[in-house]
Amino acid sequence: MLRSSTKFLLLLTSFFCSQSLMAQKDIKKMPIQLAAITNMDVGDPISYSPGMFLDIGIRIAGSSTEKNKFGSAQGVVRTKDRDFYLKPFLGFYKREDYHTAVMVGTDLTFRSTGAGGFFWDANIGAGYMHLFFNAPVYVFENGTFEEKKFQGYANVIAKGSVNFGWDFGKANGGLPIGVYTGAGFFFRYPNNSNWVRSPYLQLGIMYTLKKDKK
Amino acid sequence: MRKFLFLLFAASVLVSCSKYEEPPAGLMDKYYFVKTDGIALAVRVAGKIDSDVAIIATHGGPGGSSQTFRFTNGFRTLENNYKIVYWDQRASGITQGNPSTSQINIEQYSKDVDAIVEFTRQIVGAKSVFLLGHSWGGGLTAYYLQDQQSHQDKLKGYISVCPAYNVVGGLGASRQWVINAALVRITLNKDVDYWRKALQFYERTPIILAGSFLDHATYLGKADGALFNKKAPVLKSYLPAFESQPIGQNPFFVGENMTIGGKEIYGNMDLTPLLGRINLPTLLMWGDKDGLLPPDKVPNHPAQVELVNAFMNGISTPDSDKQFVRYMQSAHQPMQEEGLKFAVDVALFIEKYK
Repeated sequence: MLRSSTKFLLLLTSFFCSQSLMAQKDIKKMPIQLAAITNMDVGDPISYSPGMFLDIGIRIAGSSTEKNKFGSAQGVVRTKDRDFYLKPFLGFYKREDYHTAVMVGTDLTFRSTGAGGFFWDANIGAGYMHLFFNAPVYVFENGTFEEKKFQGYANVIAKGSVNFGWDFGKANGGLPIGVYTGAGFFFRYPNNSNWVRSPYLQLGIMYTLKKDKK
Repeated sequence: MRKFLFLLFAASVLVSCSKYEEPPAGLMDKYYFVKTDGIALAVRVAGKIDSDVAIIATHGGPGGSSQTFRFTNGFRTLENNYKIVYWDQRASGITQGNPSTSQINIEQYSKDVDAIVEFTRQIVGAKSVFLLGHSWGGGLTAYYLQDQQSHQDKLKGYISVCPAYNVVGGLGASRQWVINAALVRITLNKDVDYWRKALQFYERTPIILAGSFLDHATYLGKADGALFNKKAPVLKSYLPAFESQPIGQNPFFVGENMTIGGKEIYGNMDLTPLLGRINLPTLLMWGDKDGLLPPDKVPNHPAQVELVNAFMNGISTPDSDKQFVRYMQSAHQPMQEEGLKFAVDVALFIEKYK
C-alpha cells in the first residue's frame, strides 16, 4: 500500500505531466535536452555513478526584452528571453553493485537567455523512480531460493537543479543547438521511512525543435 | 578556449569513477541480494573460491554494516582460507528496501539470519557453516541460536565477538566504565573541563537508552573504550556505489526502533537466562579494554555484571567445546586491533570443528 506522502507526490507528478500536454497547443519553442549525469556520493573516495537525463521543454510562458546591439552601426536588435517551461523527463543512473534507477517525471523550469545565447535555468520537479538491484537477487520463500530478474522497488522523487550554457542558435541565426552544464539534487522516498538525497552533476546538449520567430 | 577547457573539465569529472578491485587468483568477491519479507539483504561473499567452509559475519550496531569488517586484518586474513559471507541486516548498511518500524525487532532479524544461513548452505554451497556475530550481531546471533535447536543443527560452530547478549547489564557497566575513566583523567589533570562535563551527563543519565546512546558512545570513544589499539592498520576495500546518507541514518532508525518481545532493547534485552539453550561448539572473543561491553565486573559498579563469565557459564556447550580468548590490546574491535591473532584463533577453532 502506498503511503499518503507517496500518493501526494504521484498526484503532483501526474499534474505536472498533464499540464505539459495541455500546454502543447501554445508551443513556441521546444528544446530537447540530453545530458550525461554523474550521481555523486561523498565518501573515501567520492563515488561517481553514471546516468543520463532526456527531457523535452514545453514553453508555457515567457517574455522578451529587445535591445539595440551596442556599437552597431546597423542598429541590430537583439533580445533577452525569459521563459517558463514544463519539461517531462526520463532518466536513469547506475550505482555499481547497488542499484540502477529509472526515473520519469516533470520539471518546472525558469530559463533566462541573454542576447549572446548564454543562458541559465533553475528547475524543480517531481516524478517516479524504480530501483533495480545491481546484483543477482535470490528470493527466499518457504525455505528455498529462486533467482529472479528485475527485482526492485518503487520510490517517488523530488528534484531541483541549476544549469547554465550556450544556445548557439540564439545568436546569428546559427544551428538550433546548445550545450549546458549544471548541478542538482534529487531526493527519493521512501527508504527506511526517510528521504535519501543524491547530488549530481550534468553535462548536456540541446536541440531546439521549434523556435519562436520574433 | 575557456569554453573548451570548462567542457573538458566537466567531462573528466563525469568519467571518473571508483574502480572494482579484482581479487587475487583463487579468491572471490561477489555481491548478491537475498530478498526476504520484502527487503533485499545485501550479501557479499569474499574469500577462497574452492573452500567449502563459510563464516557468516553478522555486524553490530544495530544499524551498522558488515562491509566495514573488510577493513580489518582479521577478516581479510581469514579470506585466504575460507569464504566469508558478509551481510547487512534489515535497514542497515547497503541493504535496500523500506521496512516499516514494525519489522525492526529481533524476532524478524532472527528470521533474516536464518535466510542468510540457508543462502550460505544452498546458494554459496558451503558444507561447513560457522556463525559469527560482533557486538549487537553477537546478541542477535545468540538470540537466533537459542530460538530453535534446528537453527543450531545447521551450523558447525558459533563465534561470538564482544556480544551484546545482555544490553541492559552491559550498558550499565559501560556507563560506570566511562565514569571511572573520567575520574582517572580528572585526577591526572587531563581535559578536566571535558570530563567534568561527561560526569554531569552521567549524573543526568542514570540509564543509557537509545536517546542518550550517541553521547555515551562519544565519551566512550574519547576514553578509548571502543578502540584501544589505534595503531592497528585499516585496510582498503572496494565498496559498492552505495548512498552514504542512509548508512549514516540507519543506526538511529534501527537503534530507536529495535525491540525484543515488543519492548525496546536498551532497557529490556538480557538473554542471559536463555543462553542455556545454546549447545553448539563456541568461541567467545573479547577485548580486555572493551568499555562498551566490559568483559568483567567494573569497579564501583553496584550491579554484578560479568559478561564473559555469565556467557561461558550460561551456555550448555560442554567445556571441551567452548573456548574464551581475551585480547589484551583490544577494546571492542579485536578483529582490527589484534587482527592477526583474531584470524589465527578463528582458524584454529574452525579447523577443529569444520
